[in-house]
Amino acid sequence: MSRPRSMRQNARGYLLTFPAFAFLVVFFVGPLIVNLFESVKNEDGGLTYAQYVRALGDAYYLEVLGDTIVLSLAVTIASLVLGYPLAIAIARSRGALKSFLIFLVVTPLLINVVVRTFGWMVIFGRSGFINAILKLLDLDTATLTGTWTGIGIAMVQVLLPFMVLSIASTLEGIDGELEDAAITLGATPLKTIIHVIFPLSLQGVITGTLLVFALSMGSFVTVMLMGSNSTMVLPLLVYQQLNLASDWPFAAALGNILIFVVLIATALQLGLAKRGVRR
Amino acid sequence: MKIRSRPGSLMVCYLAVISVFLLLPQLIVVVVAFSEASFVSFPPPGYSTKWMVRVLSDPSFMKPLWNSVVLGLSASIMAAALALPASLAIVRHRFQGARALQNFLLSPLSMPTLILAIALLFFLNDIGLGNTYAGLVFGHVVVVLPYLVRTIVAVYSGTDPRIEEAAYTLGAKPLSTFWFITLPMLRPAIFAGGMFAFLVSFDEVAVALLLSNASSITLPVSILTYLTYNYDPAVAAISVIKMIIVVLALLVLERFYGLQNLTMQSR
Amino acid sequence: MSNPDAESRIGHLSIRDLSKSYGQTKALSDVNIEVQAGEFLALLGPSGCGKTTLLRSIAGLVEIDHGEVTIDGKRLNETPPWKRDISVVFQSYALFPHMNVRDNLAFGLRMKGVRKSKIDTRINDTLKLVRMEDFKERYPAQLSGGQQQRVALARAIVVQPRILLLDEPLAALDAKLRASVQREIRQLQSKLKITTILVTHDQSEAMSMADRIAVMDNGHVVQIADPTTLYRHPKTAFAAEFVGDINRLSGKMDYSGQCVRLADGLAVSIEAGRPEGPGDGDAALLMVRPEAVRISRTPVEGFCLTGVINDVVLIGDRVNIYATCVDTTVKVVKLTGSSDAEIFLPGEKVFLSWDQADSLVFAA
Repeated sequence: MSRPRSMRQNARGYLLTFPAFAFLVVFFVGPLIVNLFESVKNEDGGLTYAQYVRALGDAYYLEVLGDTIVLSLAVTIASLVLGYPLAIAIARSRGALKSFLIFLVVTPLLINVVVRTFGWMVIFGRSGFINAILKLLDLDTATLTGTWTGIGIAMVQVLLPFMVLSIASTLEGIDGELEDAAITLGATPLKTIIHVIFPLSLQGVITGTLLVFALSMGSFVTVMLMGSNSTMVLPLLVYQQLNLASDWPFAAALGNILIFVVLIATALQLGLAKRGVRR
Repeated sequence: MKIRSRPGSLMVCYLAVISVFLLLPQLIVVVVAFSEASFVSFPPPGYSTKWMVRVLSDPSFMKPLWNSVVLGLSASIMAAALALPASLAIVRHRFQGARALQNFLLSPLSMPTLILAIALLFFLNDIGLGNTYAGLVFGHVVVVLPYLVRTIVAVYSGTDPRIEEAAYTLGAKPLSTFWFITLPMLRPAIFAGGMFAFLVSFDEVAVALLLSNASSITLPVSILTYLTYNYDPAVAAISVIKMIIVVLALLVLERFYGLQNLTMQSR
Repeated sequence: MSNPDAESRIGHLSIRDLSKSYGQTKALSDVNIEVQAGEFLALLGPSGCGKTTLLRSIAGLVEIDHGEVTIDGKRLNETPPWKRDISVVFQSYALFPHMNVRDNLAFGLRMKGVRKSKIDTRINDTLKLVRMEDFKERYPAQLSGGQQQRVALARAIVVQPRILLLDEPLAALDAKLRASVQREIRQLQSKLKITTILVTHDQSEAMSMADRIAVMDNGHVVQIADPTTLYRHPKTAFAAEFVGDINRLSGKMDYSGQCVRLADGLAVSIEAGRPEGPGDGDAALLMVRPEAVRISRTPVEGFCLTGVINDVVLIGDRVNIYATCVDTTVKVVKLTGSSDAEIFLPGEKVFLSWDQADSLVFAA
């Protein structure tokens, strides 16, 4: 039954939410606005697009932007492909297996990115895990440290849990009897997944891909620790402009470009989602 | 029924590979932490606890560890104080715009923390809170607030509104009802959300990297900076200590809330 | 247990011109009800008829738009629920999940400032009354549905409210348990003499428990009467159809005002002097209860309908016979083994008749 929205109820609602609302307006929205101003401010206080022209007119920055987007897309797709079966396994398993799988996904989430990246450095390092195995097999040693592949693998491990949790939570909500129905109607398990489960889990897939894409666009720790001169991503560049070059307006502008790319990706995916629903 | 009850052999292989993939880096870190060598190598030439002992007695790691605990607690408690009344209002008062407000309170989740950190850096400087501890705490409150709102709203939405109405009809005024009925019912949710918030803050790198200073530096930041200049098993040892704290917190969380609920959270 | 409040006979409730809207939807319009102290009233109606809104208005859980609610002469419109002295048993029971049975009962007593020394005795007495004295330390999650229901009832009556409101309290119980709990609640209520209002959509529950029944439809109170009157003399077609089973035959009021002419021209004479019936020549609904219909293989004197049996269903102690006549199916109910419940076979031609007094006529 719909409940009344009396004036008093509205007033009480606003009063109770006010502290949290005001706090975020000041310390979340406020800083983002300041950031925007910072990026278009010139020395004598006027407005200028110079920082954006500089960022988008320079082949190096464009290449970094392109590399960041490609890396994020690759990490997102790899997470989706690798994570989807795991999400199904979590949603459909029971008891001890389910507990283990959830542990598997949640634990890495709570171990720091820095620590996990360090783990990958040891795995890929010159005297590391992989090379130890290669040596045992009498093969030539190699290193993935400092390569896009190494960075990508480490980032997938860091971000995979977000994808899996988003999809699993949607799959949990799908009635298991739907699958039984599909199977009794003659669909093979694979066909059931393709035609019944996947379309129904689209919401979780969209949430997951958006989340993973946005998080990889903003990741800098992995690249900072594992990267080399030839691997640069936008957020790390922002950090360097800020900390090493102390070029605050340029850092702000690069940061806004990053937000802009994430927003466009969000809009694109939400648009696709709507089309999917209408169909 | 096959896909529901009995995973096929392909699925078993896949689960084994993905388990190794997800757990290997952490396991390797644990092994290296007990290395005897003075450099990082795998497998270590021998095992000892010398790095653990060294790290535990090194103030350049122990101070940040303590800082992180204090920061996590302050940010979580402050965020809980903001999130609790807001979540109550969103669920029960159904005021106009409640839904939009809820989305707004969750929105910091989708902002890359590095960007938030940069923006906060500029902003805090402008309002005279630059390089202060308060600025760092506020930054972390922004980051962890959504986790508390999400947990409390989810649990409170699931409780029967008639329970509070029953209290009213039995003579309890709204404040007594809140104190004796609502709050005790929500205690596990507040605790779980707070614990979650603590873990997020305990792990946060970007905001802490830009807003902390020499005296307020957090553990993840100190590990990160140490790692940019050194590559020795000390990092592994301090990482293991951090893991132990996180796993302990996780066990407490499981006891009060159930890890299973975490998968239902991101809805 | 002696209930001192019952002796002084307080708990007289009166509702005048009560209206309540949710946006454009009128949930209640001009509801007027008087409930005597110690009376058991049922609010009966289909879901969405406004009965729960009415109950919540009495408890003070919804603000009313218009009209007033008074108890023992005191207007309660502005009184918040915690000062009304009205207890509610909810459909979901709404037991406090973090408190055991004892604390659930103690809560209301504490809130109402009952002295500590008295709290234990009152809890024990009340739990004995609902036969739950052995479950004091249990938490709600450790009780069965029926037990939770008793605790909810005990929690509501332990505070000795002026009025007890029951919001579909038995809906969550299975059918067998429901019948015995109905009797228990009825006995408890007449023992304690607490003014009680029961909201239900189950007409048999209302009939078996209440002193009087208020039938509600679409936000209006259609009729308030004791169960027998309601069953025998429903004021509207809605009340007639909602309470018990009934056959409906459509026709036209004869110009004589003495009979209803059915579609096939057959005239069924009715009792004269119905003030609220249809006007002469208007379309009319003729209704008759299944158990009032006589059935035979041979025509009887006076009026009778000709029909063809299309189904005979044995339901334990009763037989339901369905016959097609004119343009509709008429249901006839007979006791199994009674003299006129000869076994009829589908396809047989039969004659149906009933007493003039059993015809109910409403405007169509």
